[in-house]
Amino acid sequence: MKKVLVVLMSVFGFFLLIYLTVPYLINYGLQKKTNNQNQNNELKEILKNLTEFEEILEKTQVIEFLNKDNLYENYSHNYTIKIPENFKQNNGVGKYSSTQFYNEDLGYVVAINVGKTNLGYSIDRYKNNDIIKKLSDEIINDKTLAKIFEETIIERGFNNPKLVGNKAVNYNNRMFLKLNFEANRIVNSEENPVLIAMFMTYYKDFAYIFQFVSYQKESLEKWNMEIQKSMSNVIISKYIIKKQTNPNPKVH
Amino acid sequence: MKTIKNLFFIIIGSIMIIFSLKLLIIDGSNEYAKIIGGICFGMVFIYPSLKRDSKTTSEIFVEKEDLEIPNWWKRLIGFIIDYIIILIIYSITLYLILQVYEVRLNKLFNSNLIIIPFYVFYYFIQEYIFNTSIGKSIFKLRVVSAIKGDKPTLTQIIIRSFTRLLPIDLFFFFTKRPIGLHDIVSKTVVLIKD
Repeated sequence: MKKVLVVLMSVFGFFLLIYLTVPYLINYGLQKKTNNQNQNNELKEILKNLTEFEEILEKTQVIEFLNKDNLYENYSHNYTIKIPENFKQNNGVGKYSSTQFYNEDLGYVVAINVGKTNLGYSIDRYKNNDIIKKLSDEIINDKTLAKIFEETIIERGFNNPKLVGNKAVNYNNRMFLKLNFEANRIVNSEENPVLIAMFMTYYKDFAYIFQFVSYQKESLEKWNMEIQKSMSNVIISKYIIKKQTNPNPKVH
Repeated sequence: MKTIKNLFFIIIGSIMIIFSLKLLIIDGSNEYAKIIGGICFGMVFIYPSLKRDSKTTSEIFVEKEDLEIPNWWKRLIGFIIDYIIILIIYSITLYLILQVYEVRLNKLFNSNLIIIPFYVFYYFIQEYIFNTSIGKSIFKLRVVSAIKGDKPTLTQIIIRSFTRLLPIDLFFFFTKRPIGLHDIVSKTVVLIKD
């Protein structure tokens, strides 16, 4: 009887203890949960802001680039490129093309063509990088692709183009498909050998092609250095736009 | 050969324990299930290897007195019955808390943590006062101190009740002589009532 009484008292004590501690436990638990939720919300906010942060970074990078000297800035297709000194500029023909820079004495040409992809969707930087890597592998396996690219070289007035090498290269976190061609150009009934380095990339619904043409085989190293300088200053960004001027300045 | 085998098990067990402690202390991991599991399995590897050469107080007591130890299935069924009762009490308490405070306590805290006081209290109160539990009493089992051969002391019962919380405890019943870890640590034995 005494034992049963002890058990009953203990059980009562145990549940009394539960009854007394539960409100504190609930408070503690709710507080902890609220803190966790706040942390989660903060994390969500941070993640949301990360996209904005990425855009700010891009903008900063672009402004930094635009402040460099001798940069050619194209506002209609949002890109910049460094053009070697003493190059003249003329505009090519075609709806989306084209800008051309050339050096008459040395015979070098930098031609930039921008054309619509007609894919029906916008290509961001990550998608572009993916496409370029795949294309680079595909060209090795699929010879018809090489033929297509060679055709574009013929269209530009070169003869017997031959794709001699291709590589996916990265400039400013953007992948470019680099294609090297050997071709000829007939000038005064004479066939002159030409080397063409072509860099292709995608942005939004446009394909950008930067073509570097050399009519001389000598001083190739110097020309390659110029190509590297130019390409390392290629930036394609929505922030490359014409500087806004305030039409109605405030009068104090 | 036997020594090499034992040594191998001790090394494996030590590695498991060290990695679990590293996870807990150095990495600050909150994967408690993994940590406790690692420590327990580490102990499972180490304990039998060390145990071969030395006998526990509970085993010495059983051998000396030539006592009959209940089958493992009797203790398992007893445990299941006790556990079902604990679950019922636990669920009713949570239901009452929900009715009174309108809060689901098991949503605020881990259910495994909330059940601990019920688990400890259930065994503590019954084994201390009656030297048995509802599950054990079905097979007429009782807890005896391996030191005095009499009623277990308060300390022994407290140790028993808390050692039960280690998941490794269950593995000790699948041996030739089924004596639980909580029996060994608290120096008690479960015997069939005369």
